[in-house]
Amino acid sequence: MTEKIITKKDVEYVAGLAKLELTEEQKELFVKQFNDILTYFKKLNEVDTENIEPTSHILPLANTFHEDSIKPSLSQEEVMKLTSCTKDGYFKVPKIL
Amino acid sequence: MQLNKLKAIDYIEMVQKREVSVEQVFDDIFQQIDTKDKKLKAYLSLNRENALSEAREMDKKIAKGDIIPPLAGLPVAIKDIISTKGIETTCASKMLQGYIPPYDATVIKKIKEAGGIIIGKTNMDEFAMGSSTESSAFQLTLNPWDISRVPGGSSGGSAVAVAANEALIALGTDTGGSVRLPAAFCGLVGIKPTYGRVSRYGVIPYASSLDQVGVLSKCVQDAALMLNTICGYDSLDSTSANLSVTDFLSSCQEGMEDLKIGVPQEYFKEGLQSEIKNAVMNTIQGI
Repeated sequence: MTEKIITKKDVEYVAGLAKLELTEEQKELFVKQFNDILTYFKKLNEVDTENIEPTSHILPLANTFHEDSIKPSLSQEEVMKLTSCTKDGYFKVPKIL
Repeated sequence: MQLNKLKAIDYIEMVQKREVSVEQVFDDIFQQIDTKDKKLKAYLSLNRENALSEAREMDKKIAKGDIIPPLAGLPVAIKDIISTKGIETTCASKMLQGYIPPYDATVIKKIKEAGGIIIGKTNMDEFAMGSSTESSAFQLTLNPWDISRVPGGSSGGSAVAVAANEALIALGTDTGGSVRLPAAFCGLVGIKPTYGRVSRYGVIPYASSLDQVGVLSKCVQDAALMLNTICGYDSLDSTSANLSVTDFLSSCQEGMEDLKIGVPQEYFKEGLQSEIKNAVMNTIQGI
């Protein structure tokens, strides 16, 4: 039984973030498909994990820091070469504000 | 001579015995690529001039009597998700078309230090998000065993390069099967090392807690040789395991009597073709 978790507004919002234009039919299709997928995810809750330790990482690694020391790196020139969208040593990007 | 059909370990032995030159094997490799790859489309880009010039350099050094490095000019194909300095790296996506990394991934550095030479970059599912290589934004790679079939993915290009003798060995990446699956589809050895074994520095990520660089090869010893080269702690990768690396090549000599191999029952459920099931079960009996 598919639950109604996602609404048409959610689909429109996600489409906006992804810069995708959708037709009304596509929006309805995706509402249904998104809800089908999320309902299917809930199947995972059927598994009994009562006495199981959560595993976030298979190696006993945590907080692997290193000294904040200056080492050889890429030169500004090498990095600026990667694009033509530069000006006066800066990268030019679309206005975001 | 068709040196492109050699296994990596046999090629290296022949170079050490001065039976072949590095340039010769690259001539055969590029001839195979020029003949077959228009159809198979395993490669997105080739490192032809550099590879041939590095091959000649190595031949000169060998002739002079210099110590031959462990990989002895081995021709390696690299999945286009691994950063190669000066060589376009696209992840088979138009989003990275024209991106030329200013640095080598650690695995590339290690291969170069060991004397390996890069043939070119291979096709893949876009950003590794697929299991058939069909989602590449650039080209469709065909399975050399049957061109009506997919080579698997996402490291399909690497698998085809080795299976079609357009490379002696290849690197891929494996998140949820992307080295092992195309290896199986193309009749190769494929291994995903334990997470943390191989540095992910310079490897464009898909799922950072699952990705590992893996090897696609013609035989187990070749994979072991390449693992010896690429495994090891890297301070540039904070998920790299600071554990010593076995000599995998000599491990190949040890017997399997003490090993226990776990085979999940879930592998043999609905949807598995009977030929595949039989092939796997026969191999298990054999072991």
